Amino acid sequence: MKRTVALVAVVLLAGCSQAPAAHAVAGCASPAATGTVTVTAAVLDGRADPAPHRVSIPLGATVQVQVTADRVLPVHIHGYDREYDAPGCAAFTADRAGLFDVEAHPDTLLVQLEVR
Amino acid sequence: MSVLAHGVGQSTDLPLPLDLVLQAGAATVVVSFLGSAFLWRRARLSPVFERHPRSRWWLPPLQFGTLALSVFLVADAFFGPRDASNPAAHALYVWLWVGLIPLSIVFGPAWRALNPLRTLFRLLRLDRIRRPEPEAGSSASADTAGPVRWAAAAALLAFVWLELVAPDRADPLVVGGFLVGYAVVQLGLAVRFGEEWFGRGDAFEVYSDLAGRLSPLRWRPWLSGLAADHPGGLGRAAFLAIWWGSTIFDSASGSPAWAGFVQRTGHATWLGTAGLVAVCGLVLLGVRRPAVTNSLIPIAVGYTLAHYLTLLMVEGPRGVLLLAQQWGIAEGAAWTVGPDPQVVSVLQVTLILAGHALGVRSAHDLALTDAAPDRPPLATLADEFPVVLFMIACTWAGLFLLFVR
Repeated sequence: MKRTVALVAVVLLAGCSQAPAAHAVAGCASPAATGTVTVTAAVLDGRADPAPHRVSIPLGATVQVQVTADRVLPVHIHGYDREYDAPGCAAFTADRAGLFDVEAHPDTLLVQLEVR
Repeated sequence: MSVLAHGVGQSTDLPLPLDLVLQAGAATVVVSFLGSAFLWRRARLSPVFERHPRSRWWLPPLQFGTLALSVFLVADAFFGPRDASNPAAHALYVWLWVGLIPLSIVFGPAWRALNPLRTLFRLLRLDRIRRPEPEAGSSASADTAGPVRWAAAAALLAFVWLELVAPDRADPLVVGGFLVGYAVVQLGLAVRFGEEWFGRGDAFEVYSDLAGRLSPLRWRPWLSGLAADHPGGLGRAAFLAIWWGSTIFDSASGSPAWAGFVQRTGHATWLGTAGLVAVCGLVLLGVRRPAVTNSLIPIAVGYTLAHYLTLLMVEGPRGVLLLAQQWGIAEGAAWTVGPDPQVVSVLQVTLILAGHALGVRSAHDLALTDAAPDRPPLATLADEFPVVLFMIACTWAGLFLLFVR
């Protein structure tokens, strides 16, 4: 019993110490670990290239959103509220189902993440 | 700062699953005809009886509370923080625009009772300002003819343009500026036409009045509000078309296809304006027949609630939290409740089906009322066939929009 409690405590601690790291923008591991969904998008001349589209993502998968751009632009992943500068990459766990926009600011839609 | 660039109205709902859409589509047809043919064979929605609350002692505190909150929110929009922690956008786009529907469905025309502009009008004694005497021979009802009947529709169009198209629409300064401008125009028109102006010219009062036709507390028998002042004129059809058309436009403009089109062509604001007006115009072409206008109210209510359901559940309380945090309460708390997508899609389909069922019932009842007394009920059902088909088409359109979103 005592061991279980200790184990839970360790798991919880590990969870806590990871949480802030996940909120900060993590650069992406390369090559991506197996099971990671990599989404790439580019902003050229204020437009999404390729044109804005939807990407299906299984719930719980690790997602890398890699955005290249011809100039530095803030990128925002809605719902998960990740913000970082393009060119750049963000990795996070898709633990919330829904339809989430990835936008270059002010409001250039790049990709919609369909997490289900 | 960057979050400011977005409306709060961003939906994160998944598209409806195909099987649910097909089942709901089939259920729509069944609901439309079986109930009308077997259960509802005589007109039941008349005589119409509008109930009013017996005591009204609780009303002035609510009115002053609403006025005080509105004044605070507008002042806060101008002088408060100019970022995503300002509750102004939540107050206008979520509490007022979406929250007014459930409130009105329960209590009836709630905004007529609470409208802070009415309270201000009475408080400032603006009715004392001498208005031009009506010309001999014209009565008060003459004011409702001509351009005046379009006033509420025009005010609504201005609001939905701000909500869905205007650049920087979530900026507290923009929200505050709109609210002040809206108040000045409405108060000015109320000085010209008297306090009754708000009842037909203030978009939010008309909106709440129409949704309030479904209130079981207000109208006996239930739904008879839809039979009251029927047929609605072209002004009401236009109002309904803008209400509904704007919700459809919101669905469509969130799609990657629309975003790609706007990015290729540029001029986001102009394209958005043209798209919004075009969708509302198309809907108006469909709903302009006065015989069906009132029966479309439940369908519009059901679709609007389905469309904005998660917004109301997620952003509504978040706005309250933002307001509380401005006053130093609940610092550091966050509202992160995300409803389960499956529950949401079932609720959405239920709302759309319920709206459709109520709309068909009221259309059927109105047809029975208008029919000759010796006409068999099934013959009346055959007469209303085109109307019911049109309503089925509207409901299918709503389901389709939530499916392809």
